Amino acid sequence: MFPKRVLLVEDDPDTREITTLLLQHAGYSVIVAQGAASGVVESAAHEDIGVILTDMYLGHGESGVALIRSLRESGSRTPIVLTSAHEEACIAARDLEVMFLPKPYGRQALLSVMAMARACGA
Amino acid sequence: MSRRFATHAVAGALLFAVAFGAGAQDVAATRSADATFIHHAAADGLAEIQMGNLALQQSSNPAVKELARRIVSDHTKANAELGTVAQARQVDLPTAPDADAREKTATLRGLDGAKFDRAWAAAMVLDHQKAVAMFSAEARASGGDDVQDFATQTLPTLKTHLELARQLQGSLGASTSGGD
Repeated sequence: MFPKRVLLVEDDPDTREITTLLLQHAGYSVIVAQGAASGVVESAAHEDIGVILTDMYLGHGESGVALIRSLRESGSRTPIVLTSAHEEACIAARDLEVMFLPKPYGRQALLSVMAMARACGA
Repeated sequence: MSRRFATHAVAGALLFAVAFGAGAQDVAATRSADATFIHHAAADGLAEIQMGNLALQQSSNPAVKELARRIVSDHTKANAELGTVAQARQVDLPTAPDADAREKTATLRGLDGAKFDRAWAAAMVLDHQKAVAMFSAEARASGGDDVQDFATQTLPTLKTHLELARQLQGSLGASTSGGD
């Protein structure tokens, strides 16, 4: 089982805040980043991250897909969950071999996908 | 007859007012989009300068330092040019990178050796992918004004940075620690 530490990469402040609260309430320790580059830096700095949860569209041309590719190219095998309200993100998640969490998500869907990612190493 | 003329005159005036109003709205929207681009481009430029200076202090890898020097020099020049554009348009420029970039730099400061080099190179690739996307969109935008000119002229430099950062990332290789 992967550690209960989550790197959340999300540009929307409300989604970031609510997701952080939901995860913390469930016992997760959460590190937040707003963009792809800060996500990759936080991932390098914290070796005990159990799951990375990233939004697909991070604003100003940044994408979760670029972040996932960068992490995999750098050798990271940390389980990743891609989240988005856009249909194409589901296909991207399948191509990148990561899990997908459709938006909007509730507490139960979030915690289920996190538990699955930690258990399976998606 | 005169009544019909009056009706046409009123209709014409209304049409003109609507058309003029829409035109004014378009101009205002373009100016607002330009101001947003100027703000983000300047803040991101400051972030690249800060990240470049950090690599110059913290890395002992000559290839990292070489790219860092180039990034600091090119982004300093680009931000000076952007300053001229902003001044002409009376747009205030940010004096520091945004919060996310400041946090990213602070986290990088805690890394050292090969770990720092790999994280820095990966961040440079992602930052410049973002910059190329943002500047390409501005360069493609209609208008033909000074902001579009700035984006068009700066874009090749950003593409070169991206290519060099990709080469650097490739040469540094993947992490073998397996810890992350």
